[in-house]
Amino acid sequence: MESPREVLELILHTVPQPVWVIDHGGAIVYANPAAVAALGYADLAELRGRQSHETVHHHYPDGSPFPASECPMLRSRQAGETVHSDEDWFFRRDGSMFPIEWWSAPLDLPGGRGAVLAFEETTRRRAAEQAVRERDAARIRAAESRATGRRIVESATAARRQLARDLHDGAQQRLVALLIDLQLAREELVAAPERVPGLLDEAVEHTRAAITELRELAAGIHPAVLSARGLRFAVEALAARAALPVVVTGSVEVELAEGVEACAYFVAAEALTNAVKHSRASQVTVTVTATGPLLTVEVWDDGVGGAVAGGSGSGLAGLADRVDALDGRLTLSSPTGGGTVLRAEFPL
Amino acid sequence: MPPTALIVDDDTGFRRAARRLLAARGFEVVAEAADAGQALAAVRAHHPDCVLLDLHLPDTDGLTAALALALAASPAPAPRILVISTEPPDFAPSDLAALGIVALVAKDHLATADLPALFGFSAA
Repeated sequence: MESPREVLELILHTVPQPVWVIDHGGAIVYANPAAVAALGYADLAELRGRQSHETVHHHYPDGSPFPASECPMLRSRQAGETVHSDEDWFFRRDGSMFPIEWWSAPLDLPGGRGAVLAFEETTRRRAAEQAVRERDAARIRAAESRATGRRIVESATAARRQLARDLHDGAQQRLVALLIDLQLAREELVAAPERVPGLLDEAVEHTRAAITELRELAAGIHPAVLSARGLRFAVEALAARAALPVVVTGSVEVELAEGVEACAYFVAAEALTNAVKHSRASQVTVTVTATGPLLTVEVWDDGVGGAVAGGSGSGLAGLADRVDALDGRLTLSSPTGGGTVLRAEFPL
Repeated sequence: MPPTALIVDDDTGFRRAARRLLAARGFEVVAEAADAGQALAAVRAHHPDCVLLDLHLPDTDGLTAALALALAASPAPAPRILVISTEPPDFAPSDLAALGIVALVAKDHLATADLPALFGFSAA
């Protein structure tokens, strides 16, 4: 049977954990085969007697020199305490660097206090951690995209509910009143014919009101002018109806996808509505351009600013989701007192 | 004396048509109200015999309003209430009777409904 010292040497020789020992002066007195291999040397003879810090720990990862006086690894030799770091690095013989975790414990040697060091290459763990981080980031992106999708569905549901309410409160009431007046006119035709023209005038008025309300509702879903005359013309029509002086500039020479065109139109419509309602502006400029790979709609006013994208009653949040769903970008700049710029960009 | 009526609906165009209809059916329209709050005030002021009450009001629903109107009329007898709705009605008659509602009629059937009979007055 081997002596305890032989057993110890056998263990150190075969253990896959890199281990080495430095003397009181910081020179390597022993390195096990795992350490020799991990550091890229041929055998222990190449390492023995060399200053450990200057051999494997001589620079910071950014390439600047790392003086031994700043090295925490040598502290156990000096202070007699066990130290550990899970975020360090070593240099191999060929100058390449690799991430490590290490432990250093004081070790009393015949010439004075040295230290025993064990380390572990963490490249694989780092890669695994990086993979986890990337997977988490991908999950977060997917969740964000699902949340956007959900918000779009919810806002579409809310829009349909509003549409049903508008139909119920508007056109349906007009038609019910029309029906009553027509029924009365029919009854009075014989009983009191002199009342019939008045009832028919009412009926005509209800019908006109119903048509106007239905037309406005349809325009809110998809304006006919957009399909017929294109974005630039539709925006000019919006501008002409706005209760503020609006200048429209720019041009769109390319064919636009329907979804992009409609979304750009509603961005302009919402911005104009907000400018009229809240900005106290004297002038609004709408620029519509399709240059290179981008369609840009920008609505600028010289009003009081201070608009907030998520403000209650603002249609901007819903619009931002619609723009986002088309891989576009909606940006709002509205410093207090500095006017408002709402800008939407869509890839073409 | 013709029976008196109150019209409660938030749509002015509909109220105009309903007023003509009730007049043609032999009622005297004494007041109009656009919401339940105005309706309560009108019941206290005019004590109408009948109320034509829309199921969808800006401040509450017609069934709650019906209950409130009956209480508002007290100690005078509660008005006879006919609830109208744009959508086809879907309440059990027993539910309505408990609230003092004589009938529930879809608005598009109002012009052809026998309103005096529904309100419990024989036709003039």
